[in-house]
Amino acid sequence: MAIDLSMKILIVDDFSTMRRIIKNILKQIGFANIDEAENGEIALSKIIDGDYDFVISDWNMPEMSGIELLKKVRTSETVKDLPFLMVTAESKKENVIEAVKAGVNNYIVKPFTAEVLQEKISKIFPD
Amino acid sequence: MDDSMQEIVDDFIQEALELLESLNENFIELEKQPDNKDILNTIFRAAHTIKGSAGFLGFQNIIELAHSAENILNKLRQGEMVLTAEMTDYLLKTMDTLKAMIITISETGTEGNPPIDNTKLIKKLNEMSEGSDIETPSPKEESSLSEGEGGGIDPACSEGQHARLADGSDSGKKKTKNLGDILLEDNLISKEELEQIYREKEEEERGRKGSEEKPKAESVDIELPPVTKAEATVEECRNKPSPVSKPLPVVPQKLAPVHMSEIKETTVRVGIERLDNVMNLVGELVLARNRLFNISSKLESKYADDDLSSVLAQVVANLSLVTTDLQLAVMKTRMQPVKKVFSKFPRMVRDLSRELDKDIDLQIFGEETELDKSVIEEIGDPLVHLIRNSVDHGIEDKEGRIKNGKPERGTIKLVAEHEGNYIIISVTDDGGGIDANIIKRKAVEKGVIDEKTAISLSDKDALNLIFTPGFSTKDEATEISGRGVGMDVVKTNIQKLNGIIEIESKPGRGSDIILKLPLTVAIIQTLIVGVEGQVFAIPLNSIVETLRIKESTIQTIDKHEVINLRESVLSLLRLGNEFEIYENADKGFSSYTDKEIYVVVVALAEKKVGIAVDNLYGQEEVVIKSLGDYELGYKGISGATITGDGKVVLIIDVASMIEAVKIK
Repeated sequence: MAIDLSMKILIVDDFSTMRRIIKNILKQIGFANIDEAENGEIALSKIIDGDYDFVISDWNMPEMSGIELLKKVRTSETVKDLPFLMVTAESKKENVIEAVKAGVNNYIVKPFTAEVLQEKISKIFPD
Repeated sequence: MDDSMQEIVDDFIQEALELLESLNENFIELEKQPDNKDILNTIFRAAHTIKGSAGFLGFQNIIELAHSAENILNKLRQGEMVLTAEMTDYLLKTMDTLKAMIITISETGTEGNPPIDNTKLIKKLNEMSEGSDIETPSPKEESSLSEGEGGGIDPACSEGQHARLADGSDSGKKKTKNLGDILLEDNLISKEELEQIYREKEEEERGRKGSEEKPKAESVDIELPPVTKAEATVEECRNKPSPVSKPLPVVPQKLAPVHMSEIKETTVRVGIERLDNVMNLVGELVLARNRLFNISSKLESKYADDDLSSVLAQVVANLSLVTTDLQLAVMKTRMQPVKKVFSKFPRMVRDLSRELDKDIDLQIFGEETELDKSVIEEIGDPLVHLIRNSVDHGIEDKEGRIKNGKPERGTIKLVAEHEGNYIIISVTDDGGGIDANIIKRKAVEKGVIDEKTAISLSDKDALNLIFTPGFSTKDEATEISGRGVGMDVVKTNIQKLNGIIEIESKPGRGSDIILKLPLTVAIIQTLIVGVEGQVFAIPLNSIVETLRIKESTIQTIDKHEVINLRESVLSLLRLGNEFEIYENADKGFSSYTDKEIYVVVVALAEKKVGIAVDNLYGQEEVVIKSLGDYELGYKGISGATITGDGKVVLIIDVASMIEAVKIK
């Protein structure tokens, strides 16, 4: 399954180490156009201005959680269809249900490898 | 490990340590309000984040420990358990252990073996977290969605699903799948379940839109109405709106206001060695500027008529201004709030007072005050000493306080504030204070001073005896109900920073220890002095005044040279003798002439000494260069610098000068 490697991706996580790790993995896959945001507010303003193709966000963040960020994105006129991958620590059923309701495109459980991330992304973007 | 991995590990080490450091405060706050969900959430998130990143980096010990802590914290924040002091103890211990593990990684590059009591700690954490609800099995095992699990897929709906996708429901944009589709596709959820979820979602939204008072339905019961008719299912499946394309009802929270688009990341992390390098270069620049300034002013007086020399002077003046600004700007980049040091004290006081069964309130003021990084690094240990002393020896035990008519809870105040080019940090307690008479008696017993001195010693000077090396060891300090634990070390450390330490105390009322620290240590203002053609620099911040006296006014008491300064006696120290510059070593004693000499009066705390020199050349800003490995065999020099005229000049260490006089 071929993924469009030229996609402009935004990584959202409050922990800079995590952003670097995810960025590193994305680079391994072959993505090059990668941006970061350290919290939901910055992410939202970047998303609105930034013409991103894809967002990878942590679920558990202070102030604005990944789900809250997603809900705001989904209610916006211009970016409501932005594909959104949620990074989470556990795959509890109730969490997955919440993610489905919020309109998450896919989720991925930490820690993950480049292969798993690639698979999760390609599920969102079928040929 | 390749470079990018190593960078990530370094990043993790720093970020995780900062995170753990910041938690201490949260724990202290949490003890005051044990059911504050925000604080619990913050602490939970920290454990969670550390576990998450450690997972990627393969640090197994950290993952295990953080996981156990996360479990308890999760129950606490969900309100399933109530925080006890014991739990706090163990959670704090967990944070310390995590810190130690991370430090091990930073030192050795690998995780190595877990700390010895790690298993015990994990076991204890698990016991505590399970103690509350033994019957409830871990929800993770119970209901997690893993590949291959979940309800069977309905072929009919699956078809419908594909049909819908083929339609390309997302207008214009590249078609994407959402989580519902994917779960269904992977057999992780049954069609019925998914429909149920979407139904609930719509209901929730309708409910929210309809009446605000209606409580949100948070949980979903998957086993609710199973759809039986296949046709109905297909129908529903077809008609089911795609959650991605469907316009959501208006949610109360409005979209980001305009100004939000202006929020950008405003900070950049810079390695400290780069800053040190810049600081060093600026130092060199300051030295070059000083030289240039010197040369330019000589040229200007030599070729006063030449236009070029006045133009040069202007350029140099401009350069000088810019250099000063640059120096200030660089200094500011090295400034850090004292909070960095202060933040560990609430935890320390908490632990110590629990250990000693005292009730102590640590109040911190001015933690946003900024200091040079190198100063911040050096004041940690002295402050630990001072606060420990206050907790251990200053504040009385509960009974003692009540007996003395004080509130049961003792108070220690830690305050930082600006005062000109200095930062004042004070540690004040309302404890038992220090009795000057007991200090005097002890000092006599220890042979630090003799009986005669003890009688003539003022209370203030007596208190300063606690800074004398060898004055007391821990046992005696406890005995005299006062301080003395390594106070000489504290004083030395502060003096190394060109700082001053003072103590005030009233028996029964408490003590106040004041540290006066310069904002930076790298660049200082000095007075350039000369002795027999040799040039020295004396730090301006310890100079009280300069005098011009006739040598004949010097008196000798007990073979010590002194002068009478406004009716008080000032010990004199001849720099020439001290450094053996005078060819005739007795010069100072034998030839009292009418020759005029200069006396630079320097002071540290309450001690004043006059340094006799031949010339005063003026004030100059110098950049301290360490003397490196040179062993001078004499402590009177703290470093060297290069002055405007290109000479290497030694910088006088005022503290050891004053010591030298005392010894004599």
